[in-house]
Amino acid sequence: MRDEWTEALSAWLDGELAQADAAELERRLTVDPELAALRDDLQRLRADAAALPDRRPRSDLWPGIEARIRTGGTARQGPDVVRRSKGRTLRFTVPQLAAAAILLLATGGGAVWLAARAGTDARTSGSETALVARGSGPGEAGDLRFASADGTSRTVKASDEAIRQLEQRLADGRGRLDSSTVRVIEESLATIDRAIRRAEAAVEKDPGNAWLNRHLADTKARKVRLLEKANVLATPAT
Amino acid sequence: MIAQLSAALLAALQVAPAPQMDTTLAVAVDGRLQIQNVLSGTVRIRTWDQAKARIAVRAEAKDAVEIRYAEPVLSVRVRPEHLESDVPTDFEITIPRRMSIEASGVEMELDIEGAGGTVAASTVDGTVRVSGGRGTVALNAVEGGVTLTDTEGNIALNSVDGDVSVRRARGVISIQAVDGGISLEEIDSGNVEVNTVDGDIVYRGTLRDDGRYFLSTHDGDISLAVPEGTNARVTVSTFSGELDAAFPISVEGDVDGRRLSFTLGSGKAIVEVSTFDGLIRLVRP
Repeated sequence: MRDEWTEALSAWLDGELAQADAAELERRLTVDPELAALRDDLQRLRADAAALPDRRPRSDLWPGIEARIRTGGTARQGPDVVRRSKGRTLRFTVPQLAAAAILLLATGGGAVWLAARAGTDARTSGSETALVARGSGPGEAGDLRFASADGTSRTVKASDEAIRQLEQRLADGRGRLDSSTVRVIEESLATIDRAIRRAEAAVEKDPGNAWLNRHLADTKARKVRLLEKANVLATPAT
Repeated sequence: MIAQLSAALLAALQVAPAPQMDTTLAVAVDGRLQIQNVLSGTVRIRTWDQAKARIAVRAEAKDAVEIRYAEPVLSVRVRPEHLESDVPTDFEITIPRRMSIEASGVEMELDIEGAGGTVAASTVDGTVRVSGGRGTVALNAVEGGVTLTDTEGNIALNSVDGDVSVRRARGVISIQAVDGGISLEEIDSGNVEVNTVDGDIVYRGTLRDDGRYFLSTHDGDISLAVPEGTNARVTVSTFSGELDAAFPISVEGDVDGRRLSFTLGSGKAIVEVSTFDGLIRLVRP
């Protein structure tokens, strides 16, 4: 899979690729499974974006994140394609496509925090970060998914930090939880931890596998979401 | 004699049911019912075609529950001073069919039938069973299953430890579970996103041309019914699982044996199915 074709994918999906280039890309898509898989990821990301309800999450972190989304964040690396969908600016960059590591973190309120952290990291490193806000059920914070240029390590680092802090908060507040609730949460966290360990081992064996990386990121995001829920339960009612 | 009477009275008190209250009041048919502070007990909600609500409560004391109506909100809650009671508070509530429902509790068993408005419910320890619901239906349980039938709208279900079952649903569907399987039967949707960490997933429903369907589990099998004539691009991902298709497919790619795609018909719908470790079955309905 060559960078020029990953770059062309986004334009092709927008119908902006020249006819000859489009034909060549379509031919390559039939013979290059990695490129085809990347196309699927992009289509999914775009479909998510198109389905976005324009709703703000309750978290007060949202203004900063939203500002970052709208301004596009930091210095760009290479060409990109900017599209507006229901008022949001989406940015898909070449490095993201080339890495084939679009990391979709489908979580609830935790993702706001997580993405904010990831966004901060991205800013300091000067790399490109695409953020997509996505609404979910009523009463839930909007989901945020992000795709990071140098993807996996930053994502995992950010989620690990989120997990560490949430675990600490939960440890502080677990005395307020019923013992059976603690048991259920601990069992479920153990289930997720097993899944994370297995995914990490798989990624170690095959670090370039985009699906495995996404699966690992998704699983960690699920742990963030569960820890968030547990912390809400452990927070005294006001 | 007095001793006998005292003993009888004592026995009667020991077996006496908790005090009950039963109230009926006029409400707006498209109002909202809010049930709060159910620390322990069951909540049973039924609907009717009348502009009134009936609330029957069995509680520790007659004043244990506060009922207030300020149009359009009917608020039913256990008073804070009774939250420490060991006596469960049980509710039997009948409301206008179109009334929206919000219910939250800790050890709460929730059973709703015939809902015609939005439903938002959450419980920590207990099952949530809802029949009906229109608009937005959001159900959450930590320890307990979630069952939803005959519903339509934006459906968001979450369970930490328990199975999730949806039958006869139409609309946008998003389901998250951790320790539990997810079953969707008789679904009519163009937007389905379902995932669990440890559990099987079953999907039987439409695969619309303009639809998006994402089914994912870490440790579990996935059974996806693919109707004849489906137009979809299907991507199957697994680390150490297997694929079993009940019909011929023409695989377009194979990335390290872990991800493959194929196109059915015009390939308009997007279908992604993934399990880290499990069997993916593509079956005919």
